[in-house]
Amino acid sequence: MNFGRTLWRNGIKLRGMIFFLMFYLFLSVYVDLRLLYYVTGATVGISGFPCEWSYLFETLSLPGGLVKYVSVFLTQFFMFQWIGPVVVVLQVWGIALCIDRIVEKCDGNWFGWVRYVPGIVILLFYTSYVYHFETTMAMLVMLGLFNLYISVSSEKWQTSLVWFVVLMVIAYYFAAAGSLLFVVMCGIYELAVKKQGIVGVGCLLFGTAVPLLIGVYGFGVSHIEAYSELMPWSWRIMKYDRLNRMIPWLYGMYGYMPVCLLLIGFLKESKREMRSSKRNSKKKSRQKMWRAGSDSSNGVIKWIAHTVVLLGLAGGGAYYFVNDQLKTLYEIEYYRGEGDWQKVLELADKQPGQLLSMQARNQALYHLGRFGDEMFKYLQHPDGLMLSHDVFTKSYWHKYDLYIDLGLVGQADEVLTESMVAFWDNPFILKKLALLNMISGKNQTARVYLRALQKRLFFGEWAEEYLAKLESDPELRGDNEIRRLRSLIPKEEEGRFLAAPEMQLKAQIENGKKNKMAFEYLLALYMLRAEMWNVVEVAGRMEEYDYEKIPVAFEEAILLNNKHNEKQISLKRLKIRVETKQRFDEFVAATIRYRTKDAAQSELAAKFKNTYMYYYFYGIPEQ
Amino acid sequence: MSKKYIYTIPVIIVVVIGAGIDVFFERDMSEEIFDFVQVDREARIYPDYSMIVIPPNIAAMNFAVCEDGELYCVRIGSGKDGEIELFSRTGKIVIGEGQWSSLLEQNKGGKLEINIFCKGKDEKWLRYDTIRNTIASEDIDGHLVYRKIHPAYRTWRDIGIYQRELGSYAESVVLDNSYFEGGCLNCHAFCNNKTDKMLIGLRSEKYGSSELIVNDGQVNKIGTKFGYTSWHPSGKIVVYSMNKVYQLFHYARKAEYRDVIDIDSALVYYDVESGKVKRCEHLSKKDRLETYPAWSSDGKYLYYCSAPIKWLTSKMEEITQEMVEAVKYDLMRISYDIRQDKWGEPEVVMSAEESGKSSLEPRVSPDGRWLLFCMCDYSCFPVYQPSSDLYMIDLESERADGKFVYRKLDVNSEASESWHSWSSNSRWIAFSSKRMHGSFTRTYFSYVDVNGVASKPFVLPQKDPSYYERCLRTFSMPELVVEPVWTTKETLGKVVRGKVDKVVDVPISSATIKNKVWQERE
Repeated sequence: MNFGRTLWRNGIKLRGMIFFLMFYLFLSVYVDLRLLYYVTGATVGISGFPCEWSYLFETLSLPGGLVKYVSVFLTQFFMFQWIGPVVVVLQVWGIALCIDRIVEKCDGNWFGWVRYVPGIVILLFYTSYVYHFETTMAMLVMLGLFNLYISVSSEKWQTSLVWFVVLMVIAYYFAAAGSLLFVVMCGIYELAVKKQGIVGVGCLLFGTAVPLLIGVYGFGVSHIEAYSELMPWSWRIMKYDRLNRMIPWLYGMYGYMPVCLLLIGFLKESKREMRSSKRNSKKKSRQKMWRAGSDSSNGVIKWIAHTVVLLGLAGGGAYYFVNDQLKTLYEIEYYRGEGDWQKVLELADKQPGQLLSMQARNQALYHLGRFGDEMFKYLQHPDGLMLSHDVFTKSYWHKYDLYIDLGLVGQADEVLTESMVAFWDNPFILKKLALLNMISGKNQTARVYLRALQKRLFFGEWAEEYLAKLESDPELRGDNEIRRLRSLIPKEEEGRFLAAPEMQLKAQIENGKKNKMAFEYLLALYMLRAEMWNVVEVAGRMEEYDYEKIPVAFEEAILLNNKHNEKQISLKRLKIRVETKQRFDEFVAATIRYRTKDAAQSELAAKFKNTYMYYYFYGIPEQ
Repeated sequence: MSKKYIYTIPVIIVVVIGAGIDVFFERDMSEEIFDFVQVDREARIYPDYSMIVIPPNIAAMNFAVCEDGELYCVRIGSGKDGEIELFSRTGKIVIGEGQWSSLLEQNKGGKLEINIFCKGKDEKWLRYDTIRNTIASEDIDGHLVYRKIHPAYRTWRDIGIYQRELGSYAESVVLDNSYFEGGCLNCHAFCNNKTDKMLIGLRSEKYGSSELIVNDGQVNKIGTKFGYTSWHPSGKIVVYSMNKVYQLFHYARKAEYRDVIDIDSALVYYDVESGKVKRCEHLSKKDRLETYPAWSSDGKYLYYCSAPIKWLTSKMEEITQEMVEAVKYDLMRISYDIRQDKWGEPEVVMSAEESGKSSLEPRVSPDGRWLLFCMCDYSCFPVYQPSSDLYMIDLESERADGKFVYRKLDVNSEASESWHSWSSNSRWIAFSSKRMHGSFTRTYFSYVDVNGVASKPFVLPQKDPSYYERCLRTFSMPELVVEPVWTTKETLGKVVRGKVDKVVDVPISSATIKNKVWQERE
């Protein structure tokens, strides 16, 4: 058997397999859908899946509920690196199959390539970390129903209309305003492909009225929701930057199938008109030539060429939309949540000047016990400690881990609650809220979060464990981590309002509290702001903590202060290391050698760039 | 096989499975209880529906028995015929609505007893002490209107004003933010517990901040948002507050980290007929914070809260905890003659100096007898104050001897109580309490007898007794109304999305009061 012909005949399937395999591998290995699920702030619209009948009934009681229900369920698998992409690939494959059938039924075999278009667009969505799973699910369902329609519709316009009405009602119930795609496709199919004007117009008119009749008057939804829910123009998509970033592509994906149908109809019409023997004979000879070609190695070459073009388009698009910076930020948040501080450090190194990375890196350094020693090995900025810049006022999701670490439970409560609302009851946020309330001793509130989690797929076990703990040990004395974090919480009688991070940190080390992280952060904050008078106040308390030796950066700050300021920092037990003193003296000597700071910079940068003295001398580096 | 059968078979399978499930869950668990061991205490039930006064027209008060057992039997009756007997394997007791409403209707003014039996693994029955309740003679208003939101501070997602038919579990939307693309809904207010006159405040990036006014079927959009609002009983004027709000966070306060202050506030009034906003100098003093207006039932007095401004700045960092904790509101009233549009002189009803607390949210009962308000240690926002409790003043005795004497109600808890409202017959109050779940506010009811004694409160019943255990929303500003809101959400939504048809000029020129979008509050 001729290999070329075999390949050509089965090539479509093989090409498809290669495409979907590459798609899957790209999502699993590079994109990592876990980042969308785990990282609060990566997207909106991902919530937990309540395994409750009441949730099922509530969701199915409104149009679009079925698509939403299934979408929420399937999205839970994004939690798993290798399973989430399977879900997406299956969705894309389902769309491709539907398109294949549509094209076949409409005699549009030249349009076979369109099966990959939605897949490529969806690939671009995930490459950009934009979540449109529900909308694309609605599209899949509509394509499926359209397939059904073209199977059952007949030459009799009455039969076709009846079937359209039945399927349109089902379509609206399944996918709310997503059913408008079904309306448009049926209308165009009847008008352009089957040339049944009455049916086509009937489809368009009746179909447009269904959301009003069933949605508004039947289910009682708003007019806005009736005509926009699950569609690209839904305010639920337009409202959020994280969702409307790739809106033109979403529109394109929705619009291209109706356009293809139009083209198929137009081309069919053209073919009919151009029926002539001369053309036929030319066509026959072309077909002969084509057959002759496929008999030879040309078949293989063609197959390879088509496959390369397809993969090239997909790969090129992904390459264009790849956003390493964004991915790195999400990975940082992910590993921060997992407590993999070494990994956070490595990732933050990719974006050294980014304040979000800086904040995570500093937190990682602290957890690795290296903050005071190594902080100036990296770029630093006062806002890179606690994201205190105004631009981060609403960056709730970046702050709560740090607030919990510092014992600032009030602030953590605030940002977590805002995050819960902004990011749709993400189960990880509910988990943190439950923990936070248990740390605060607010067991009643914690139970609400725990019971909500108890019904969430994949989170029930954790919630049940803590509910049982609360029953047997309401004070949670057996949980060391909770006890440790609880010890950081300030006493109630010390209540005050604290707006600025400095005030928050200060309050955590006063009145005999030994919050070492707050101490180091406060000292670092004053050092970064070059407020030596404050450095004096704080550094002098170092011996209250369990330091065996003074961290390097703090040593340098002490030396700097003691050289230039009257008020000295003197410690009784802890001593400055000889090597630090030596390095400091060398730095001072070097500065004296040059007339200006600029002149000294290259030598100082070469030897002392990773020191506090350099930072103090040259200020905050440009970023 | 024909295609018809291919499609039919799955349908048949689903039907059979569904029927099987139904049969399983509906199977008869009842059995005769001949012997039991008496337990000398009441069974623990959730929610706590023991020793309460029940409205005769309330929905079935389903509950869960929180005792260990394999089978539960609950008998609900009044000592006469018509006892309801229920069995449950899980402890969840769901009472038939028809049986319940008949039982209550037939025993108005009588008692309601709940007897609970639990069968353990040893097949022995335990019987707990009878839970005794009273069925009031007076109905509660048929509907409750409230706002359901997440307990966030600055962010919102799905916000709606809902109405619940108290005789059933039916909840419907009055207006939610899907009708105006995700904006924010604020306070709602009714005139005389009726829904023919209604106000709803809202904010929207796309459609602006405005107030919807429903007046005898007509819906209009006023070009400014009202704060706390009170209709004059005549329905001709509305007093509302303008508040410049600041949100604060306590560094260390276990029960509630959040707090709110009004940097500035004042009261103005809106003439419904002319569409004009007017000012009374006593209600908008530059050195005072005025808020929470509430008309007396005869419309002759406006009750409100007033506190001296303790700062001369609007900069957050200059406002200290000491300044904030010094803010304590006096409860005031001022007379008003609607025919002449004339205000009297303000008088102090409850001074902060005397009580040592901040008096907030006055509401006068429709019969004019009682003034219900809350007091907390300081502040203008009692829902964030764990110390907030409900108090009552007998206005009849004030009329007799000229003294306002307040007393604390027995409905209070360690958590915040606030946002109270009266039923039209002055026999029931609805209020918000955080006693159940801390951060999450739930709606409670209490019966108030002719002497002003309030009974033990109970939470708004839900079909699923465990509903509140997982509910991540708060029920805010419960208002009792005698009828449903007839204006449809479509109509309200359309007006929101439309143009302002009542432009107003706000006659306040204070430096800090501006006609801007206010911060969202719970």
